[in-house]
Amino acid sequence: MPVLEDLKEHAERATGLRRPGKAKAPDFTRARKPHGVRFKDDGLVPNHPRWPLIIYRGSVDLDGRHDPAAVIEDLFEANGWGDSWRDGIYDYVHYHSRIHEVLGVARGKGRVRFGGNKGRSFTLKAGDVAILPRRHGPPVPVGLRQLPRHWRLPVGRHLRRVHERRRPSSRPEDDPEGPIAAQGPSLRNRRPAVEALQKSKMTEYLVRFLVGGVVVSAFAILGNLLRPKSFAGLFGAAPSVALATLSIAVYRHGADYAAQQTWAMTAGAIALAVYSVFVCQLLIRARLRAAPATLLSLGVWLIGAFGLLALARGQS
Amino acid sequence: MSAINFSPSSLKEGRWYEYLVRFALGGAATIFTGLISRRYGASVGGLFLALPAIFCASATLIEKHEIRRKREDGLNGRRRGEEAAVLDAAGAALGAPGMLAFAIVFSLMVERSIAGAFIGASFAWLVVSVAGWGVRRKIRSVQRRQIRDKISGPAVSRGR
Repeated sequence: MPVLEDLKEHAERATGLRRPGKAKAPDFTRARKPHGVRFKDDGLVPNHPRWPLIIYRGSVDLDGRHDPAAVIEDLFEANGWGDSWRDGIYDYVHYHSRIHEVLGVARGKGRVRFGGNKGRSFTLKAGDVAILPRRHGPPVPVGLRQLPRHWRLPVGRHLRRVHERRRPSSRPEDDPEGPIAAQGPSLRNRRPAVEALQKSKMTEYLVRFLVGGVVVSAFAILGNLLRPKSFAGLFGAAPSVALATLSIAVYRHGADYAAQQTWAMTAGAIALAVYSVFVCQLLIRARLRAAPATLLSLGVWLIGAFGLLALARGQS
Repeated sequence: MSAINFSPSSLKEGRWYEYLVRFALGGAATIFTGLISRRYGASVGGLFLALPAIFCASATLIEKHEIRRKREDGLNGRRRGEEAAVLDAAGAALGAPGMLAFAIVFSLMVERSIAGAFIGASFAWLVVSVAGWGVRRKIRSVQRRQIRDKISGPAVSRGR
């Protein structure tokens, strides 16, 4: 109820009760790496080609002693983001062409779609912060009731002021830093988010390589150690890449993303069964060597996996 | 029916570069899956979690092992290598339902408990894969016994 929330906000501001205050608000942040996503223009929502949507998961520590909404409000205001309001997310697609926007979730959990038709749905929960660059499709709730209370903080006017203060000659739309410049020191994590994002991408690839290599090697060694060979073969089809990828997916993108991946993985697993039988047949009947038999059969896996995925999508 | 056992000596049969290849391939497959997910979304990326990229390498390496071992004994070894690769592929076919169980359990549990999803899904994979392997062994052992009985049957009657 926006009216009740407005009344509560006025009362809290007047009395100072359950508000940390701007000075203490930065203490309620947690150092979190930003997760950035770029979306294509879908014809309706002209998503920005360069500036990503940035999500900080669990970046605000909502301790329960203060009103979570007030903590986020004070934190944003301490960083130059003002003119905030407390309300639900609009249930229609819209975007702001010239202003940036920041969203802080104070309570609850819900699926929110960013970026229009070519965008993506994310599960946001209390403590998450999303920074939406201009020309980025602001959120559309998927199942409005799933998100009981949260905060939407448009930052247009204040962002412009923040930019102008720093770089008097540039307008916000010309600012090469995009929405990052308006994050304020406490959300900056010591360096601009885009820079952090690029660095974190490189780190992510390195981590992926190491985690994937270790998990796959561990299963391969286990397979080598076990006898009989048919039993050891089970470890050739162990979900080693899946374990490595999912652990990173959960850390980087959240549980819902990993759930989506594993749901699609079922199609890949069925295709794997067909693939393995096909490889057996090629080895026994066509007398092919292992390398050509396994590589040629990848075509069977691809057809099977994508066919099943298309079938599942057609039915849903 | 031979029981499941550990054979530490088999580790010595492998060359160091084979472990390196597996490590690099595992890392590359994980990066590849991440790139696909980033470019085409979680669903398409999810398919590649069951990509048999590692299996291609393991079957080839197992075949090479067997051929090398037989050649050291002065034999051709090609047939033995082929059989080893077939066994590996059969094992993978039995492991596929396990992977399916892994995916289903993980997708159902992850939004409730992340640690529970990893443990539950891995356990589901192990149980389904080992059960599949056990059932196959049992069927093959029964079939072998039936063939043996058929062969020995007429021999007994002739003796009378």
